[in-house]
Amino acid sequence: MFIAAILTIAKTRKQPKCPSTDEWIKKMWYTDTMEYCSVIKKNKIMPFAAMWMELETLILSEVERDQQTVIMAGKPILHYFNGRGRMECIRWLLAAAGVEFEEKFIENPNDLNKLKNDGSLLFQQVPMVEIDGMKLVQTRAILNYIATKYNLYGKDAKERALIDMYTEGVADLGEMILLLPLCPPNEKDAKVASIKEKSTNRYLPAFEKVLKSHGQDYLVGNKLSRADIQLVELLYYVEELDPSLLANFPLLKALKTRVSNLPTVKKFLQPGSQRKPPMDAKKLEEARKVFMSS
Amino acid sequence: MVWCNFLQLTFEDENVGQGRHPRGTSTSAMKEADTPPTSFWCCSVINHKALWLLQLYPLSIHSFTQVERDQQTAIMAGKPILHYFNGRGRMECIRWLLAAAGVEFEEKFIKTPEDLDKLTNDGSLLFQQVPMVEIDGMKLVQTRAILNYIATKYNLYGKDAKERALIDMYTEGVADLGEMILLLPLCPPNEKDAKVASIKEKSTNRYLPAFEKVLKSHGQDYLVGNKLSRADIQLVELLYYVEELDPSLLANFPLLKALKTRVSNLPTVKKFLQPGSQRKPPMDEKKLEEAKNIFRIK
Repeated sequence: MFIAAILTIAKTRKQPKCPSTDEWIKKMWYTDTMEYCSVIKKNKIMPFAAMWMELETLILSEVERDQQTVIMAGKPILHYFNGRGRMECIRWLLAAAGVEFEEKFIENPNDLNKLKNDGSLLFQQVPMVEIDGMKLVQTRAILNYIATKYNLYGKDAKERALIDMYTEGVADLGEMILLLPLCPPNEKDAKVASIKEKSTNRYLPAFEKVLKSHGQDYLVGNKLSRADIQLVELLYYVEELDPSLLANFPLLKALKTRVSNLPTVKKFLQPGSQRKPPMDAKKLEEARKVFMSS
Repeated sequence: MVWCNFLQLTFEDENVGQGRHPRGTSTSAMKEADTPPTSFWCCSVINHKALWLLQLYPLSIHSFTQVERDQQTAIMAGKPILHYFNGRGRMECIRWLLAAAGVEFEEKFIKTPEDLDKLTNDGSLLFQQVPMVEIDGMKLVQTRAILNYIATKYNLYGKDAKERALIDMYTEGVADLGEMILLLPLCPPNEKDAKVASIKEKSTNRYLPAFEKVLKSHGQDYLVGNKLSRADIQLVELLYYVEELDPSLLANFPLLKALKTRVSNLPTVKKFLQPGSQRKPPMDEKKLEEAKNIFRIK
């Protein structure tokens, strides 16, 4: 609609349409917003384009400008190795929000060094997500930004507080499961037992109780939020570890089904999506090679 | 007199919403372990005054704006109450943030495993863990949930989503290094030297340079948005711990040293840094034993 408005203005000004608009739009997906704008402004061959940008800032409202930034900024780009790790919860959240994203896989230590050397990684670590002109690192910073942007973070500070409590609990249990492959073989059984015990006695009952307390379809504010998405992702991992763990939690099972049936999530759960499979020995070796050398 | 009634009416309003006894009588006020002193006072005042003024109840509710009702709730809700053991642990960053924001808070120290059990059994701890902070009618657990709420409430979380993203990145980096330092006392003695060396190496090569670079990039007094935020407060707290570990670690980071001085000189922080404040000292052997006992860590 924005483009139509601009083209209409172009027509009324009796200026020729920018010859490579379509090419620009395609390029946008891969170019930083500010870079694009400055390129356009500097490019003397396209004076109309520069005028166009000035014009639109005047006539568009703040909301439309934000939307335009979304269009301009293109898809988020995820930098990580080709496995779940610390990026998977970000993939889940984007997918559930219906946001298409690209992935650039780090396949060897050189790929990682390249990112470090060009200053893309604030703490020399991934996950890193390019989004809206930023290179965000730190899983929680990325999740918080995405949740805010796509209205999955509650309607006020109190709802956010509840969401944060729940997602932090999810993250605590999720961290134990995440680190399991790195556990020395002699300690593994004890670790698995501990995870099962904490799931059964601490985390799953807490979430079941929340759902029971208000009887609503979602954890917070009777509306889908990141808390539901992140919890359901966790429930899949708990189920992978041991399906019987979910047996005594009917409301959690219902939430899992409900969220899984949302069109965006359903799509993400199907084969061929960007969802990653569990870590196998081969993938673990690959990850070790990439990350442990640093 | 009318003011007392007004506060009582608000307390009542809050109580009704939470399913408690509507008239906030002194009995029910005393039962609530966390009833703030203000509301208790109001309750006892009401009991002794002409109740006919309560006829004004419907009027007063409608005449206040939402902002005033929120402010009223803040007054009524009293000071935040922190539940933890008497040591730094995972509560110290919360104490720093509240103190820097100029917010007075109370502390209820957990001294024995039984104290912890009591909190668990009365359903106050969502995941049976502390820290727990009673604030604005909620019993918040999980350090980050608590910090996020406090930062939002006291305008220390940036002005928009992009500033929040930067603040989050920085505070998460602070938390990563902070976690290593936090867990040092629990490290087996034979692994301790290696762990300390690793912390020093990461401080010098990863974290401190990153923050120095941010400050250098914009040349402003604070990390984000040219304004004090939680990122500055949490970083400066960390710098004190890094300095405790080894003062020479800060030597090559002039902008970080300047930030540390600047933030330390803010009136609220200055006060918190003085002896006698609620700031906690480093963990010693005795305190470590106490913590292990309370949390049943072997």
